[in-house]
Amino acid sequence: MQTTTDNIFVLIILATAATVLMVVSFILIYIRNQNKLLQNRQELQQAQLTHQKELLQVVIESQEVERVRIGRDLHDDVGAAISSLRLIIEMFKPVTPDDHYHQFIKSSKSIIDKMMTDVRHISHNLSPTSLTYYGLSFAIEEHCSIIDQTDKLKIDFNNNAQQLLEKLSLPVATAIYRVLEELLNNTIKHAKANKSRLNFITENNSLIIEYADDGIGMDANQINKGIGLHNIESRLSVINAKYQIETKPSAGFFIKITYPLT
Amino acid sequence: MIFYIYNMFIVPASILLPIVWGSIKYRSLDKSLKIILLFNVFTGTLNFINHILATHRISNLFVFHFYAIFEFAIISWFYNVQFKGVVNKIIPPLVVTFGTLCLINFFFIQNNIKLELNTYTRSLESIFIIGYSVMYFNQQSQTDNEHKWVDLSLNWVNSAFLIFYSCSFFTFMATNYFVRPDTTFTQNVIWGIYDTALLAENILFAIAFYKCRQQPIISSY
Repeated sequence: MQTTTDNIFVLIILATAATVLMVVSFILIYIRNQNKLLQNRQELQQAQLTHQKELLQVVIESQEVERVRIGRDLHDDVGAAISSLRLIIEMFKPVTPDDHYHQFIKSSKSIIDKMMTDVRHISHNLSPTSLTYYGLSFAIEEHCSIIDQTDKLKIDFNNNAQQLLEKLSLPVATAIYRVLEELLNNTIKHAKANKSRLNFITENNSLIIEYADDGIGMDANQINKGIGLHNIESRLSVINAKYQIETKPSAGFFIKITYPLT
Repeated sequence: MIFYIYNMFIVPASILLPIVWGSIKYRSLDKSLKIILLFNVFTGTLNFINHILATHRISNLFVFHFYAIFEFAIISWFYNVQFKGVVNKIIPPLVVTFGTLCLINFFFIQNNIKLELNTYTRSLESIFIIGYSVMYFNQQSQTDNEHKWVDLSLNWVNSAFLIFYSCSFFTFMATNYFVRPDTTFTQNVIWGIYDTALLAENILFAIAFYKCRQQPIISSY
């Protein structure tokens, strides 16, 4: 048999070099492909998220339009009809000075007045005209004063971002107004609180809204996203605002909302 | 001289990198990484014993015959944690079979413990580990990961095994040609390549421990 002059060490070095080249190339190509896949997946997720947000925005906007329509109809049609009814009753003069008739007129007027107030409140809740005409700050102050009058909750409202609030677009202002309305409703309904605090601050090119109450609080891990919290989350996600909740049993409730201005 | 320092001190000491990092981050390590830390401690200890035996001119070749059994068992344990299904059931019998082959090889085939290393079983072990590694890559390619490849510790561990065992495969096969006293330049080059692969493996393990971190708990709703 013919003997070979090949040096086995040189062959091993060459074989090892080829293996190193193959393995390192394989790993690098694999990493590049995995990163590309991840990037594509993230882009797809982002696109889906954006689409969902747009859908949500459309739903919320159409909801607002419908609220405005119902509120206006209530105010203009039902409110006007009730006013007419009141005028008619006022015009009604009994022939005999019977106390029974006077009593009837008085109680009718009283019921009609209450109906008018209720219709105005419902109409206002559905579509706060002050938000459109006077801005977010005024609308919140008005809402707070209405709650204050009911003696259910004392609200300490500090507005340190007046100029910024005036610059907010109507959809953003509406979203923030609805969120605060939901928070106040939750406090009145569930928190058994006496006082609440609402602060508006400008910080690092962001609007910071801090809301706190001295109610019964809850276990932070047990916060289940009921309809109220879902509404808050939906509205905030549409305007790209972030929020953080801090609460525990017997220690009240605190939420910090950050709305980036850029 | 430089090669001597590299071969005798720098590369053996590099095992301390993953051991130190692993120990620092021990609380954050999951089961897989704890196995890798055990593997590093095991190889570090064995290399230290070999170093001492070699320094005292005592033949240490027999140690490698048994080293292969435990090394393969620990690495198989690591991959057994990663895989699911049929592969999971195959790995334990494979470890037992390989251990038996190592003993047969030690007692009946490559039984000259002063001159012969277990090149057959060591090469076979490399093939199995390369197989594990490729299967792990295959499994990862079918998983929708939310993180970048480089952010996952186990990817670094798997790459360390693939690089070391595939690059050292030919060296393992032909080790019995190198353990003779007459060393040449090409032999030194081969040991240099082997040492560099080992150094790379240790660095990649250290990166794996470095990349291991507990996920922050976000308390926003």
